[in-house]
Amino acid sequence: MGLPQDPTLGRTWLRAAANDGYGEAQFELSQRLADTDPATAARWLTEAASSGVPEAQFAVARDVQSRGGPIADVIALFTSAAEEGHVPAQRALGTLYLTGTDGQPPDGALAEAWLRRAVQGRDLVALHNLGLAYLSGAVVRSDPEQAIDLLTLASDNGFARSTLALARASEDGTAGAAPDMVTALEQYRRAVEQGSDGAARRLGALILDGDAALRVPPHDAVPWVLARLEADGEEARARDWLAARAADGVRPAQAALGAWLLAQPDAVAEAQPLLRAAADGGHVPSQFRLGEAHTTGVFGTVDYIAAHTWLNIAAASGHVGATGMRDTVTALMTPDDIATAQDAARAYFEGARARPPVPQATE
Amino acid sequence: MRLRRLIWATVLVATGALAQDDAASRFEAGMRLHSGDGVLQDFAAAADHMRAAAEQGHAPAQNMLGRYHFEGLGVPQDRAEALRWLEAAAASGTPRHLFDLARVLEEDDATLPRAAQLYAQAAGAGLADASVFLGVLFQEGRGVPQDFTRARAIYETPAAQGHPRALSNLGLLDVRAEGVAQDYARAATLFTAAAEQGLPEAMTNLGVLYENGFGVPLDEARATALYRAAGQGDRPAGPPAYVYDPRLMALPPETDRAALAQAAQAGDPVAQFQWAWLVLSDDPAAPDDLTRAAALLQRTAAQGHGPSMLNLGLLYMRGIGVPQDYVLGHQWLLLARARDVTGADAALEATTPPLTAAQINAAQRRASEYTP
Repeated sequence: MGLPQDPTLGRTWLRAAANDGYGEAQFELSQRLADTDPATAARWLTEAASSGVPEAQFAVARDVQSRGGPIADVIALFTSAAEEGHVPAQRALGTLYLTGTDGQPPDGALAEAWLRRAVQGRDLVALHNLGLAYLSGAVVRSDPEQAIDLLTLASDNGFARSTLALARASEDGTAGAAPDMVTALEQYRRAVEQGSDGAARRLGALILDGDAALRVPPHDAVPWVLARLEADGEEARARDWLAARAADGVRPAQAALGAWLLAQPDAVAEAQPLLRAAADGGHVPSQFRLGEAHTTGVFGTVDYIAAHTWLNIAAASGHVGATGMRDTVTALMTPDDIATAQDAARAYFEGARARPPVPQATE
Repeated sequence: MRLRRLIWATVLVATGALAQDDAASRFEAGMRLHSGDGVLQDFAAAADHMRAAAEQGHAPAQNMLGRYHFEGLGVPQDRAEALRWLEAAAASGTPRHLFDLARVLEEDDATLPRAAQLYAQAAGAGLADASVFLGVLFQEGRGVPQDFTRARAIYETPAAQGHPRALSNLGLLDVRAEGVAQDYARAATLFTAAAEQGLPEAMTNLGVLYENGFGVPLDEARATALYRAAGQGDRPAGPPAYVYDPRLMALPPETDRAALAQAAQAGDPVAQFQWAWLVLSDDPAAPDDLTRAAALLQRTAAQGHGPSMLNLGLLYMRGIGVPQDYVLGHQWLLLARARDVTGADAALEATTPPLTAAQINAAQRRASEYTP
C-alpha cells in the first residue's frame, strides 16, 4: 500500500470513517471491538445495520430474535439483508415463514420463495428445509418427488439430517410409494456414517424390536444398540440385547457393554468378565481398559500384575496410551511381580499365535 | 555341551597333578561361561564346571558354586548348599571368600556374630568392603555391641583410600552426632567425595544438606539436581543406544525410505535391518513403524544377524514395538554379545539389574537353545 502498517492509525481512520456514516467501517469496527469492548461493538453493529450492511442486519436480527424482541423488526432486518443477496438471511427468513412464530403465522409462498433463493446460493440447510416442507406439505404444496430430489442432493453433499429424512421417508413409504425397508436400512447406515446419532438410535430401536427383515450381522448392530443404551428410557432392553450377544461371544458386544458398565456406578463387577472376554479375544481397547482399571483398583483391589499384563499386551498391540501407563506401573512393582506379569503377557502372545487374527474395531 | 561333558569324564585320570590341572581348567572354563567371554553366557553350564572343580577342592570354584546356589542362578536356589560351598571356599582364608560367606551369614541373627568375625578377618587382610560391612554392624549394634567410636575407626582406613561407602557412612556419623560432635561441614565434604564417585545415597544425603543449608550454603537448585542424579543411579553413559552394522555402508541422510521399505517387504534382509534402524533413529518414531521395525528385526535376528539381536533385545527390554519382556530381551542381548556385537556388553550391564534369577536362567536357557 506504500504505507507502513500501523494498527493505531488504522483504528483512528476506521473510527473517522465510521463516524462519517460509512457502514462497512462501522461493521468492521464492531467486529474488532467485539472481544475488548462489547457495548461499543454492539452500538456500531446497530449503526452498521441502519446503514444497510447485510451482515450487520443479519447479526442484529438474530440477536433480536434470540431475545424475543419484536418480530416485525426481525423480519424487516432479515428481509433487507436477504434482498441484498445475503444467503444466511434468505435461509433464516424462509425458515421463519415456514415454521411461523408468535406474531407471524406460516406463509407458504414467502417460505418457498426465500428458501429457493438460499438454495440457489448453495445453502444445504435451506435445501434440507425446503425438502422437508415439500415432503410434509403442511405449509407449502405437497410435492414428494421434488422433496426427495432436494433431500437427495443435500444427502449427496454429506448432510446427515437429509439422509436421515430420506431413510424415514423410505421406511414409512412416501405418498404413493410403498415402505421400503431395504433402502431405508441403507440410508440409515449412510446417515450413521455421516455422523447422525438419530439414525443410530433409530437403527438401534429397529434391532431391539427384532425386525427380522434387517438381516444385519450382530457385529454391525452393536454401535446402534449402544446408542439406544445411552438414550433415555431404553436402557434395560438395550442392555439385555448386548448381554445376550456378549454371551454368544460377539466381541464388539462384550467390549461395548463392558466399557459402558465400567462407567456405571454399581456395575463394575459385571463389567470385568465382559472386558476380560473381549481382551482375551484380542480387543485392544478392552485390554487397555482392563489394565487401567486394575491400576486404580476399580475392581476392588489394585492389582499391578494384572494391570502390567494387560497394559503390556495393549502396548505391544500398538495402543499408544498403554505404553506410558505400563512404564509407570513397572516402576512401582517388585522384580518378581514384573517377571510374573511378563510371563503372562508372553503366554498370551504365544497363545494368540495359534489363534486366527481378529479384525480390530476402531474407537 | 553334552558331548564335551562326556569328554571330560573320559579324561579324568586319578593322578593328583592331573586332578589339580583339571580343577583349574574346569574353573577357567566355568569362568568363561560365567562372564560370557567369547561364548554364550550360561550359568547352568558354568555351574557344572564349578561343581567338578569344587569337588576337587578348588576354592574359587567352591565360592562361585556357593554364590550360584545362594542366588539361584544356573542351579536351584538352596541356602544350605550355598553355605556348604561358601564354607569350603572360606577355609582357604581368601579374604573375598570370607567376605562372601559373611554376607550370607549376616542374614540370619543366629550367625550374625560369626559374620562379624569373618568381616573382621577379611578386613584385617586388607579387604576394604569387609571393613565397611563390619563398620555398619558396629554402627547398628548387630552381632556386636553398638560402638560408634569403633565403627568410626573401622571406616577411617577405607575412607582414606577413597571408598565411597566408607566416606558416606562416616558422613552419616557426623550428621547424627554418633560417637562424635555433630559436624555438618565435615559431613558435606565426605558426602561430596562419595557422591563424586556416583554413590546414590551420598547424593541424596548431600542434597538434604544443601536443601536445608546444613554445613553448606542453602542451595535448593543444587539439592534438586542431586536428588535427580541419585534417582537415576550412576548411568553416566545414558541409556544404551541402538546399533548399526559397521560392515554395512552408512545410510546417507537422503536415503529413499519408500524404496528401502519396498526392498524390506520383498525379503531383502539388509534392507529389513536398515529400514528398522532408520525407524529406531527417528525421534519420535511412529508407533506403527516401530511395530513393523520390531517384526523385521525378529526375522533378521532369527537368521543370526548380531546387530539385529542387540536392537531387538533393547526393544524387548523397553517394550517398544513388542511386549516388555526381560527374558526375551536378555536372551537376544546375550546372543548379540556371544557374536561380539559392539555395545552388547554395555547394554547387558545397563539392562540386567531388574531381572530376577529365574528370568536370567530362562533367558540363558532360551539363548542356548537358539539356532539360526
